[in-house]
Amino acid sequence: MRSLVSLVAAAVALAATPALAQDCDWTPERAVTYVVPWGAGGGTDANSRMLASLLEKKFGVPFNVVNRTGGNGVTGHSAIAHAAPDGYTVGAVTVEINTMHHVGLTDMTREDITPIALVDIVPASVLVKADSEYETLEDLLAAAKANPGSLTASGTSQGGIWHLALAGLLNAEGMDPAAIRWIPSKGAAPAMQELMAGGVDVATPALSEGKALVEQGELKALAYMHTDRMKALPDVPTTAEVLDSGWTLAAWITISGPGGLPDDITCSYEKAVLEIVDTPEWAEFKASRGADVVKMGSDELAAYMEKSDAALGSTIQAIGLAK
Amino acid sequence: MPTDALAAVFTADNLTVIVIATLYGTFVGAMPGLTATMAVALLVPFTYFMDPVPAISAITATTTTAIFAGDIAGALLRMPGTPASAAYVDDSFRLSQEGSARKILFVSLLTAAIGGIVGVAILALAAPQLARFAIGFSSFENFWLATLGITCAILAGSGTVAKNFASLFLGLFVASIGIDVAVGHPRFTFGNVELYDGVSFIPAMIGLFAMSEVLRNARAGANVERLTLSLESVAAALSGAVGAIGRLKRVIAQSSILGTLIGALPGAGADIAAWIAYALAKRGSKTPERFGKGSIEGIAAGGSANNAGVAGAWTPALVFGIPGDSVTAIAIGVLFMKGLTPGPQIFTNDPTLVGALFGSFFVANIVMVFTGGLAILAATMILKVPRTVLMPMVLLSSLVGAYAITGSTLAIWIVLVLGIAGFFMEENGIPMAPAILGIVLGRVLEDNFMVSMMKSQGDLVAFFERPVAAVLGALTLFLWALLLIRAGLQLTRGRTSAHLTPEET
Amino acid sequence: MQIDDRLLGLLLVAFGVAVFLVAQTFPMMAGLAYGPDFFPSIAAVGMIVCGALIAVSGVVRARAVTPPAAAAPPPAARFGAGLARPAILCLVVIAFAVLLGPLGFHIAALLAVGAAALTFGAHPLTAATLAVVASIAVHAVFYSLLRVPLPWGVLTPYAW
Repeated sequence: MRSLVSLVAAAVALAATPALAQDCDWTPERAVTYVVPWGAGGGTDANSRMLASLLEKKFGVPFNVVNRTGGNGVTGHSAIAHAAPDGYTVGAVTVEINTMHHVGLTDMTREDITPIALVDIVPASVLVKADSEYETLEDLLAAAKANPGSLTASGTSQGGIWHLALAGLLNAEGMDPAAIRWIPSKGAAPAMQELMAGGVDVATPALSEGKALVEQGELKALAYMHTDRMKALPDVPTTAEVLDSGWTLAAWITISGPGGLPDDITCSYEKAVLEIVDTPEWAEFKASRGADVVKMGSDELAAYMEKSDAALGSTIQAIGLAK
Repeated sequence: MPTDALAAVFTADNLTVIVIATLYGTFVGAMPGLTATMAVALLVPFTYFMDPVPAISAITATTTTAIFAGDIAGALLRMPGTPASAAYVDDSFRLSQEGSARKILFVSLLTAAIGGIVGVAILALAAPQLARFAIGFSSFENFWLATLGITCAILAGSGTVAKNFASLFLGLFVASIGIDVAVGHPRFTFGNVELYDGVSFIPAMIGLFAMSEVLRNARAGANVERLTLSLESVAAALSGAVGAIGRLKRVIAQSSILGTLIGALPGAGADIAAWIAYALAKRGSKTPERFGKGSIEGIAAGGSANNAGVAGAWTPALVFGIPGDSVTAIAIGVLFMKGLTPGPQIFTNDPTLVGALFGSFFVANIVMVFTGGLAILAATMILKVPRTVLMPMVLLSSLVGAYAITGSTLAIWIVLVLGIAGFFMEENGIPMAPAILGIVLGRVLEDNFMVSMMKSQGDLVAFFERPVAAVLGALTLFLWALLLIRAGLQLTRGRTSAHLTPEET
Repeated sequence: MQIDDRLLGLLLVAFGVAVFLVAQTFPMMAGLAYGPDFFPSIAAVGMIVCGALIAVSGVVRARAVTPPAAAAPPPAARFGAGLARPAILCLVVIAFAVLLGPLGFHIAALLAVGAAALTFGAHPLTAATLAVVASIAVHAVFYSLLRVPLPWGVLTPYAW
């Protein structure tokens, strides 16, 4: 897992170079459907809508964002994977493409889609209420070790990515993955509501989701599950610093096409997206959300997804959620 | 309100944006299947290029009017535009059939504006305190809140107790379709992956109301010319509406305040607000028997509560950055884009923006009265359209509207199945309103129950351990006791007077 | 179609029993007091109880009004009467759902609106005009203005 993240870092640093074999001059002639497997208002939706509006400007045809939610991401992902590979359907394939087949939700894997470019990397966090007795991640883990099962945590559905973040962390630290019990939620916002209401003790959503409440002093961020500290919250220690295992976990968002998307279409989109992430508009958008600009083209992304798949697979296996 | 906030609200740009957004919101809200969420999501790319105040104005004005405009299609065609309008759609449809379409739509419009303004006023006065209370709601409180909402559907239902409950349980069954929260097992999906997320309620609502209405109209023997009604003059309609509102001051005030408070709770929203206000108005009414059969009082209660709820929904979003619904989730994203972080400090860091937000909300509610009024005048013209022409149009826009929600033909199947179900229920005196509420709240109810049980590891006492939960729980149990007594009375009395209470057909 | 309360109640009971039986097949997870079957079972039991109540009250009412009711509204004559046009409309909806993907929105909408208008007794010329107008209007509103991606089907080469 650690190597995975350093690979990301390396890839991000090495600004990707688009494939040169084709001319990459395919352009859409009519409206393109941009499928988002998650609800309006979430991080994936916000990133995808921004990207869609910039693609629309670039290509001069409408990019219509459609939220195909449901089945913990299965519905939207299969809508992307099984669309006609003609360039008129793209979508936001997210990290769940690598988790849902391991937990038995679907047979679909990353092989069924064509990665185009990386849009965002979203590391997890460990959040507690501001008046919580736990000041550091070590405190929290010690308490969980002393009384396994007495603490509860939330952030997403059972087997969702933030659940894997916590269970994987506990497992990597040699603890029972259920030492902090997982309480499923409909997403990060309801989970933080539960945390604020005292319904659960811990939440492990993306740090970017909890950033506002941390800045306001309502929540305490005990850790950032990443190799480098978040620029917007430099005081939050990373798990790579404080944990022996060096555990990290990040979700990610891509723009991808259906399986078997022709190379010239893929590289045309790739070229367009890589140009867009270099624009000041994109940088400004990213900064507003407290995120860094990431840049990764189709080939690196495919390799990244492959590594991620293996790593998440072994985590899911280790915490006993594999089916 | 700071003067610079006022200045920011009353710029030509901002006012133009509000006028356009109210027109847009009216249009989208009146179309079946198009939700306020969708309207706002479509706005987002435009807000990228706007200043913060107009951007927020556009969102608030669109949502406010979209919720009101749901009443237009509800009253004229029995197609509630949003679940928030479903509580009183039978009342408004019945009255518009009786020839006072314009009057009751003006009542809807004016009470919506009043509800919205009360909501903003409460927000401006007490948002931080209200948010602090709302943020204390966990799954235990949300469970009781949903239970309370469902209980209200029974209290407000128009059939016999057994038929009301039958309708509710059918709705709860539909809500249980899909993956369950505890184990993730797909229930009643027959292998269809698209059903994993459950039956989405917009197609369900289109089916139960709009589709069943089309089928009813198609039935041989249905009076084909009946829709060609005489319309009241604008002046008569308006003065009738104003008069009615004057008489219903108390109900409107009570519903507006209640709507704001319920809307502020993250687990609830404009729809629960409308239902609870409707049921409460019925309890306090001198003519409860009119409810569900054409009660202006019910329309005023629900109509003011849902727009107040829209304002209330901003509370947790603005104060803690925790969105209560998808509209405010999108709005938070837009605030971030503009470099503004919602949170307790936004009131001290950006008083101008917060003031401008409240100001724009207020202005949007005023502007809505005019744009909405024009929309009513235009929309009521469709009552002049002959049924042979209108019904096929209604059918097509219902089907396309449902398709727009899920982006797949599954929605059309849902419309068909529930349309047939609604048709049969209607014919046999089973009211549809409890079923709709069952579908909308069933998931909320189950998820919060399961999550609470997982937290407490199966200990039911936990539902009464937290103070707010205990109060809500006691209230709900009290209402149930009341219902049981009523049902018992109805049963014993039913033996002697059954032939005196003819079924509605 | 109106059916007798006794039959209506029994139908509800039967449906409730079916739901209940299916719910019992759902898997349980160790350590959970309530599983995925809990809520559907409640709904099922609720339907059974309500169905029974409706049936009983139907029986009571039938007894209370036995002599006149048997003759007054002849249920046998009403049963199923006038359902031809609603049934045709359901077929139109089914056809629309099936044809939407392959033929595309425009052709499916033309057919559906035309057929529905004829079912409602419109003149064929009116039906044809309405079909064209409705399809164009819905295209303009949903596709162009509100950006709902309606399928083009066989017309894909001409899509814009």
